[in-house]
Amino acid sequence: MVRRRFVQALFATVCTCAAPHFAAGQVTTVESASVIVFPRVVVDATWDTTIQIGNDANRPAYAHCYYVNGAPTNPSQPPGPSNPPLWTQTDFPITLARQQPTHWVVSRGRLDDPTDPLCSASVSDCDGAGYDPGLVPPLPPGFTGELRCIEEDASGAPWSGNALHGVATLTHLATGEVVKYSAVGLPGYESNNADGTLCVGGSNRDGCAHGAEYGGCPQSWIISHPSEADDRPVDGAARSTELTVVPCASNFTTQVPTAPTLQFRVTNEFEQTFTASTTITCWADLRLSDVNPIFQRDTLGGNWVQTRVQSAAGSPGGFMLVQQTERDTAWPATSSFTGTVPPHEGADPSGALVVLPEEVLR
Amino acid sequence: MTTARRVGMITAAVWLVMSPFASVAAHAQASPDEPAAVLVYPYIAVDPASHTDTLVQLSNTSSQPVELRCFYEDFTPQCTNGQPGGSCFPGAVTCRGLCIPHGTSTPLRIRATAGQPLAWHASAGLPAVPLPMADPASGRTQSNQFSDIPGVGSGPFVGTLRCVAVTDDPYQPLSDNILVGQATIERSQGTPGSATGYSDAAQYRAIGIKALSTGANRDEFLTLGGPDAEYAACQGSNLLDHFFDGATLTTGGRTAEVTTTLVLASCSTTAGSGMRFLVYNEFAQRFSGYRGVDGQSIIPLSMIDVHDPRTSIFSHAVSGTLTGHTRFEGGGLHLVAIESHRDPSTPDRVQSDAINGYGAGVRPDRDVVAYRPARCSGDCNFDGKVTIDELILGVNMALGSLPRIACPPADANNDSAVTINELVSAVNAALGSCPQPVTPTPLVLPEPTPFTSLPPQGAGPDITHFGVATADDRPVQPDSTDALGRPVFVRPFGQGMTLIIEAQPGQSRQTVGGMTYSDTGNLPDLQVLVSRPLGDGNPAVCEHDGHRGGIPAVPTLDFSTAPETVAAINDLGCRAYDRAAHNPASPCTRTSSGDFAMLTPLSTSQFCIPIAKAWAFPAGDTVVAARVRDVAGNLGPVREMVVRVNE
Repeated sequence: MVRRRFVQALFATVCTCAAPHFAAGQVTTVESASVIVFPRVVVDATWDTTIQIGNDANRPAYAHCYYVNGAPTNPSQPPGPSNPPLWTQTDFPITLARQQPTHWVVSRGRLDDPTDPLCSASVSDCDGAGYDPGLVPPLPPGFTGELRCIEEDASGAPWSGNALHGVATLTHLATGEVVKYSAVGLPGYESNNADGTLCVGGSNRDGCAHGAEYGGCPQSWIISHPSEADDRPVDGAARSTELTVVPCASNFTTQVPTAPTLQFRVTNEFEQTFTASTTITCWADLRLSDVNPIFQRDTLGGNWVQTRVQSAAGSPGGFMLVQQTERDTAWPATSSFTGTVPPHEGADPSGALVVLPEEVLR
Repeated sequence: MTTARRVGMITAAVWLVMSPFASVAAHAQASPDEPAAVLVYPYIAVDPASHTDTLVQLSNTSSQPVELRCFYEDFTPQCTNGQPGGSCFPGAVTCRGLCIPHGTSTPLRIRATAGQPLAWHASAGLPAVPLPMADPASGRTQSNQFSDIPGVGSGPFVGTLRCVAVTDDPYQPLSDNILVGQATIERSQGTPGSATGYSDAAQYRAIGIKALSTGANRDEFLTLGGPDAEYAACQGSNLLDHFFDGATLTTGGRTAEVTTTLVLASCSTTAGSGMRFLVYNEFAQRFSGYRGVDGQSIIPLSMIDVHDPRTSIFSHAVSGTLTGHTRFEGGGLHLVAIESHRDPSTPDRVQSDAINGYGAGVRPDRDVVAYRPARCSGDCNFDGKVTIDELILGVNMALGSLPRIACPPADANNDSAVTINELVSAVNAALGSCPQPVTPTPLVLPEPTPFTSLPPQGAGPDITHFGVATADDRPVQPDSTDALGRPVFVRPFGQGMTLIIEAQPGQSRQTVGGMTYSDTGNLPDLQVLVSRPLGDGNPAVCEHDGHRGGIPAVPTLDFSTAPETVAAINDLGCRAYDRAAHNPASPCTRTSSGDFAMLTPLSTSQFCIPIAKAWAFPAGDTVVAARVRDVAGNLGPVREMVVRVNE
């Protein structure tokens, strides 16, 4: 007995030196995380979206997912202070077996139906094959917003399991063009107290006595993009860039949207720098040429631009961002799209809160 | 055996055992998410036959100008065996002979001004830089002068592009992480005037490799990861969410057949990599295989494992589901996937986009990037030879008509002046050749040596590891031991952890039992008791299928057959992963390289019990006791530990 305890103690001492350190980080698109955010989810006459989510752990993963509709209240009018976003929320739980991937088309959702046919050489209509993650509700046309999935433990409390990863694919319904991007992940930390207020980045503050529970949003996003132009002399292709922006902070209890002010610092190829700003509420899809004329090629005088986007001083929390670039060519007379989550730098010092609805916390 | 010798053996064994979990995890991971000192574009493609070109974008994010040394690596497969005109270009292979990679390198020199975005098509390069000269009179103090950004020609070409930030001393890599980039594979089809023409674009982000604060030495090799790292390590495992090839995706009434092309580029420029891949379908069923990668591989997903895509495990007809998730283990790779959607009604039209793979953990071995040939006086563009033009540059520098930055290698001793001796040295290099670098051997850490001298301590299974892992499955170390020699784990909260129990056959030599829960009220094979109630201590067993309710305490930690004790054991065992079909070969704990492995090689079984909020440990000390039974019913010795919650 004595010898056994001696060996235990020795093992413990050695492990103290050799154990890993799980470093704190920011948002990520290249590692599994405890919260994953798909900033751009669109179901309308032009686009539909397919969501893929996977569990990267050798154990079950539980998550609660929230769609938030950022479409303007009056869809026929441009968004603005007099036409605020709907901010309607649709939530549902999912469960994934160890290492299980799943998917659904947002307009159809996914039924919990174990009789779905398997894919085979003769069966290609097999969209529901596999373990269903639960009932995923379909969304009606007109949804433009985000999807946010938060990993939970088996009893429904937030869990820093860092098992989730995802990809979104937007399909242009007229041309079949596809846009793919990786979900933005917030890594969970050991400091997670599993309550309904998720402390995203930042330090100790009200509601976050233990500091950050999840990786924070960046201080700035770095976007490499073409200048906006109707006709480009270099290769005949006109290009335009849309940024989909969603605040890190989200209050699912009060449903009061966050409204950060974004600052743009624009550098062209010729050592010239310009600035611009705009305020968004809840969710925004910004075409750069609509944000400010400085993004026009005629103003910038060049083809390529580096833009840093960050929250204005005193503006609430950070934000997440997806970049979509459209390239129109005169010949062939078509458009092509690409999507990406751009690189980022620094950490938003103020941090953000995600407040879960009481009824979801069991 | 003496006690001292035994202690020494155990210590050594434990260190070896723990090495996969050791502190190399602290190194950052190669990633496209943040600015870095090295950029890797794993896929550059030019093909006139398919109107394919690659738009390269690269930005300096700093407020200072930066000098870059870049090189295209040409992996274009050449058609051999007397097949003139045969193409080996990915997606358009007409070669009936052998397709063998080209394997040459083309250097680039880039001087980017502060905050400058640059872009060029790989075929043409950037012959006219945006700022060819500084113009202090107009406030332009920086320029792209002396940049040399050639194209790869009209192709066909497939390869990679790597860029390294350097100081004005070109032999000294810069330790500032300031570069970001992306690449877009652009393609058009059809003929002018044709109504069926279309264009397509697939964009991925360049992978950034951060310089570590330790800085880099001045040799020709960048060391990525490992014990002598200068740069962030490559990813331990590469992962990809994908559709299985041939999957039919229907969106909004539109149907497309989806296929994926995988691009894998070696992290090292000096050695190839092997990878084991584990493929999971939506039933969480696992398939596996192995493939080597040397330099760059561009492979349709369903041809990784077989030559006939219809029989591939990456075929939707074989996998049985539309989407999958694949782990490429072994590391040392950069991964980009190009997903193509083809409408069956217009089969000639393919629309695509690209996506970077993601990773798990960091590679414990080092990777090496040879970013330039051995230093060679007067070799301005680092292509390994000195030309007449380069000699003329050196002469002009010696005469003072050109600044040092025009050709830093002409100033071999880095004293800001080009001397006669240095010119003579450059002429000698032009007449002969530059010295060849000595390629370092990639470091491979030793495999943990199985430790076999710990004798069984009872008839039943021995517990070989009893401890705690974080919520994300990384083992944590005990903070201390108590007066009874029990390890003490101090946790900030009572939940958000997993109890880890590993076992091996005991004196009976019988297989370790796998049952953690008995719904008939009998004792399971894994038996765990707690000295204080977890959660609300609810005595109901496995309430709500183990998703709610607490665990009652057995303060004496006496493994009796009393109904209350058996119920408490089953109530906690009900929460274990895989309680119904325990798979001992599939541990829940991760190594620093992101793979899953048991914590000691002695173990034959691992049990993982997550501690959720509903059955959290109370504040203070709780003793946890465990024992394990083998399939013949022999019970092993009891092990104990303390979980101390500081909440």
